Amino acid sequence: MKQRPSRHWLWLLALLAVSALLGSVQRSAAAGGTQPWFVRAVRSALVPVAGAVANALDARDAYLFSFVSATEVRRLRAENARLRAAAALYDERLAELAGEVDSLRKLMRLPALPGRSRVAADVVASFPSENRLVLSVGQSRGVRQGMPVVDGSALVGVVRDVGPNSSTVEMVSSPSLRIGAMALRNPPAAGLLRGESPTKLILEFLDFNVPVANNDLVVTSGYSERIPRGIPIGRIFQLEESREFGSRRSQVFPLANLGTVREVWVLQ
Amino acid sequence: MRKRGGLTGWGGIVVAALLLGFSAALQGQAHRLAVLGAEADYPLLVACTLALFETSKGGAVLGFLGGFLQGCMAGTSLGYVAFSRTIAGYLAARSREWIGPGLPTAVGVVFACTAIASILELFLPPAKAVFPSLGDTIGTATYNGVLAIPLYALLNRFFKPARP
Repeated sequence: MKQRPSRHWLWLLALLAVSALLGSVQRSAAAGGTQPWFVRAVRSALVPVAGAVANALDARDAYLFSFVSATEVRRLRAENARLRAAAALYDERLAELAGEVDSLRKLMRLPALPGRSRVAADVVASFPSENRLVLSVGQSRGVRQGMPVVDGSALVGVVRDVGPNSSTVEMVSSPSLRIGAMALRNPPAAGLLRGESPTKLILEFLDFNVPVANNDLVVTSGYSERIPRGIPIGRIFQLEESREFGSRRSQVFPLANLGTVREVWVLQ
Repeated sequence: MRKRGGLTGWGGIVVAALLLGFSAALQGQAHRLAVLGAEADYPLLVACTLALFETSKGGAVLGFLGGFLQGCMAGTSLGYVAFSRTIAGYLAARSREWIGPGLPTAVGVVFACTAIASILELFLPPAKAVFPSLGDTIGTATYNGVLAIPLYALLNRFFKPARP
């Protein structure tokens, strides 16, 4: 039987109401670091598909890259092998020093430092406009809300919510994410970092008279239960001062390439 | 297909579910498929194109499902995404009822509904910079309009538009 168009309006209104309801359920679940059941269900079905799509695009990129000159590929492979060997030496030394720090902290009855172990993860989906990444690991691999996520060299973001086999990362470029950070100086200039765009972060200093300059490296301050001290975030490229308001802030260029990151580590 | 037309029967439901699911999974890689800086919005493209074969009620449901899947995958703003897509799906189906079916209609409607959904999202939280986002909106709407051509042509071989 043909329905009157007015009934269609009712469907529209009902669906809009359901949208609002689902949105509020998702927000309250995210505040607790979890995912609601319907997000878990959709992700358990779609994350493998998204992973397959990402792999297919990687294969496409590899095919296109195969047209780059063979000499360049050989040079890059040799450089990669050399860097891996150098990194292995550093890893060994780092593990030795970390063990020493751990035993000293134990002797002083201090809590263990976060970020000691790490979980490798693939980025199965990236939503740069939402400042979000979806990772292929979740609770089953020990991922928890608030854990920092890094790529090879720098902080990418912080885990926002976690499901059994997937997690959502809020990238450092997100204006709603606040991270304790400092410019590496002697003494270090501490402040609070927030995102503004994928290529610009803002670091607001706590002390107006603190000495900072362009090109200073900005790292995590470690004033957090989950985020360890010293993870590189970016470099200062502009300083702004407002003497009337007693505020001083700097613009920071992130070191992590937030738009193209594919593999990351979750620090536990 | 049945006389009523539209995405009726199990075939229609399965095709719609597969297309919406795949498009939501593909959206996470949209930045890698960008052309001249413009990214397609695949769930919105699929929802609006499928809505062209449906009544306004079906269009609203398709838009809602596209937004719901995308919101679940992105892990944020599910309510706002589903809200704007439901309106876009409804308008897509309604426009086809007013204008009539056809490929030019499909391109125009998908372009317009993508732009409407994106502009609606501009005014929903979180706050976004309006002018850069408007540029992105035009790029996305154009990309979606172009992609609607093969998608509509393909779907048109299997489904007939529903009678209002």
